[in-house]
Amino acid sequence: MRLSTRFRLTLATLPLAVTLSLFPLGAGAGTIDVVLVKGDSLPDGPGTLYYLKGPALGDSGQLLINALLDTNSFGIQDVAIYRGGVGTPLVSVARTGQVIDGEQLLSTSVSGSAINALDQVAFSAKPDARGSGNGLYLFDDAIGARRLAGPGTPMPDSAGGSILGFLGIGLLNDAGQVVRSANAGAGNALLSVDGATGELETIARTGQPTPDGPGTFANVGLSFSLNDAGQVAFSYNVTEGGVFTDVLTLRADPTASGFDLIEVARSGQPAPGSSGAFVSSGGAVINANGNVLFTAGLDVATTGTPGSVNDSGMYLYDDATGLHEVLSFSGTSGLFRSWQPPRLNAGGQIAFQGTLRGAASSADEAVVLFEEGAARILAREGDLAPGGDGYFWGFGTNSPIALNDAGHVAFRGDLLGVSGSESVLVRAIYRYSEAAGLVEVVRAGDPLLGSTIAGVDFLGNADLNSVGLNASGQIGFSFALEDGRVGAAIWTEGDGGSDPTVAITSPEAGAVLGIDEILVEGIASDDGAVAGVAVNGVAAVLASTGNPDDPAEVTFSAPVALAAGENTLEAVATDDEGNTATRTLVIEYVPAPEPLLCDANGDGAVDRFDVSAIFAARGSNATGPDDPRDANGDGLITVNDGRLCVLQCTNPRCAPTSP
Amino acid sequence: MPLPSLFAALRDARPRPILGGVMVLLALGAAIAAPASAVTIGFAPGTQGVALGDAAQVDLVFSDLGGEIISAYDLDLTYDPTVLAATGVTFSTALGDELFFESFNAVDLSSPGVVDLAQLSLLSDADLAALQPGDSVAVATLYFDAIGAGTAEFGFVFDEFNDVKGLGGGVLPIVEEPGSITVGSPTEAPIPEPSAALLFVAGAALVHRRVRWRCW
Repeated sequence: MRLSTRFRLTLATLPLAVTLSLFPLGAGAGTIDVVLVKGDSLPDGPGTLYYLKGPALGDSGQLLINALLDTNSFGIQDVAIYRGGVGTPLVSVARTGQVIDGEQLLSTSVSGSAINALDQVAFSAKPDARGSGNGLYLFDDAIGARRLAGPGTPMPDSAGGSILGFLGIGLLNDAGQVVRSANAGAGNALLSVDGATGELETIARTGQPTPDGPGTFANVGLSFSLNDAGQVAFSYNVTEGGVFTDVLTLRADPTASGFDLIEVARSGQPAPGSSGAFVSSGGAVINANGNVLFTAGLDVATTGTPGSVNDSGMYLYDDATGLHEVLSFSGTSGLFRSWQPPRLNAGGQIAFQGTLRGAASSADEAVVLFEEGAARILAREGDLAPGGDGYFWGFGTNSPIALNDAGHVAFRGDLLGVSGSESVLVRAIYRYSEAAGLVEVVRAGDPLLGSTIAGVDFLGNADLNSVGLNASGQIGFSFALEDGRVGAAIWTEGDGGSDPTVAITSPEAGAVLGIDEILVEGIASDDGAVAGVAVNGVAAVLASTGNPDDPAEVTFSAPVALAAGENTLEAVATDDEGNTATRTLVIEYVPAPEPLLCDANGDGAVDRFDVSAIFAARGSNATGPDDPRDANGDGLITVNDGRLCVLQCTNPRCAPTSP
Repeated sequence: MPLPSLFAALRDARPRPILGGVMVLLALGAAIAAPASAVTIGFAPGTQGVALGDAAQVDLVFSDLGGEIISAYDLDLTYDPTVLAATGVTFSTALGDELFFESFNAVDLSSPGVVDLAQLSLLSDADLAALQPGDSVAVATLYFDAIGAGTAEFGFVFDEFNDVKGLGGGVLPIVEEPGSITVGSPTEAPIPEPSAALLFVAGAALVHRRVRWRCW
């Protein structure tokens, strides 16, 4: 049984007439499917949604929702994780009080979930029987939720000890591999867990010697990136003699015997493309090809105080060419004076939020797509936003921006000047693609579920593979409505304004009909699929034409009642993207004339032939209430009727109306 | 009320709820003037005597018309079939000339003792009023053979099929005036007194056209 609310809303943006952007803004359309909204019943027990975080959107279109519920267990509010998509039921992944592998989950401990293309979900939860540490769990449809590791699980490396609890947020790739930091007692460890077998491996651990230089790893950072091949990019502090000395950016490659660590960059190392050296690095991300992108602080002795960070750069490492500069603040490619952690896709495209150089203040933010050596500004503070209502004011903190391998860039934008207001910020979500340009996905003020959206949010952390943008360009987002409800929804791109086609084949335009109900027939098609056709509001029956050249082509038919006079027939076809096309035509319904009283011979006139017929039939009973001979309606044919009809004659003396 | 509306009202009156029917009847009441008084139907001569084997004729006369007209009628005139045998009817042109498509006339003598005669004018009320200027009008002459001794009293059967129409198609209330033919032996046949009615319709009798047997 489907428990989520389904709601489809077609959005469209218009091309902008004026823009400061460096590329044309496109027109787009999409549908919004609400997966869960406050008030919906839940699949795993009583209550409803109270608040939510995320959501993350898997590549199959499944939305992962961390939900705070309006029910209580153990004296505090319950939490739960749900998964649902367009046309699929909402599934409970985990919930407070649920027993997994014999352990009951406590409240407030279900968090940090991630979803992969197989719709598996990795999450952490705190079982009541294992102290305060979080366990690591995996959910899939075949087995359900199971515990992979947690407090008490022995560490898999020679340093020994056991896990006290998992930290931060885990990553889950399409191979079912989970990577997560854990408290390993004396320091932290970055662990890899095989979701199928539960086998653990240590990627790096406090106290472990660095692979290519002096020192040992200090505390393990919580920021890392994982690709589907199992490679992990991360940054780590190095300590020697209890003193932090360097910062390392590394890539861990899985092998049959564990992980090989490759130093990508290290403090003090000369920065390529610059006269300076690395001081710090962070925000490392890895793509499907194993390329690692990170940002670094530079010490450029000629431009600043030696030993301090006086420049910054963005660097890419690949196995073929090694390390090279992508952008720097001071270099010839420098357009920026700051940036937030970038994203990297398999095609080498880079997306990030930056502040433009030359701005008088730090308030000249932009969303940038860097490819083939050139930076393209997708949106910039002060630009008129797609749709024309409002100007970009900012793009949020905590990097609400995402990039997928198809080159889609999704980000959150805050607008000012919406509908003439210069003092109210309105939050919106946008998506850029090469084909459609920049389109508005959803914004505060849009109607939804009979209310109005008060706010939207989007998950786009750089080092998470569970973000609000999936591989096909769908966007998952959370929303709050003005009526107090909150929920999560999926936006699916339309077909770029390509509307379906529809034609009415019967009746013909201008037809004059003598019946009060007709079967309207026609044909419709689309470059995707025809979702439905309504004729004057009546859902039509669809049937494929079997046209091999147009597999989406369908015939439709629907009965329509007619009113006397002109009738407008309106056929509205809707495609699977929510686009519509409408065709209308006008026909006329001329009701069959009621039998004319006294018109015994039915020739449309009353004359002596009719009177003669009535006179001849006098003394008999009328055939019924519609017997035209029974002028006075008494059920009898008499001279009374004859005389009444004489007075009704079309011509004087009841002369015939035709020879 | 215009006639088309009147007819629509008539038709609509049938299935309508009672309130609608009342309204229609009220409308009809306004449209159809009721006669000031009943119309008398009688004979000229009112009584007469004929000898057995002789032929007799009598005029059918409507009188006391006042402002009314005779626009149609369907009558079953009864008589003693052992005394008389109806042989024919001729219609006057008071309701129009059938030869000029001004009326339909019909007679049925197939039932002994009954003369079923009907006439339906195709003329307007105004035309009929012009044709019926006086207070009485003779509409037909009935012919009999005297076949048995005795007195044959005339009567009428007024029922749902037999009545008389006046202005606007209204049904006229009728008062019957007695009439009879007495058949005696040839030597005993009474000599009838000419009645006033006969004097009124003498001219009309001259324009009788023909007897038409009901044949459709």
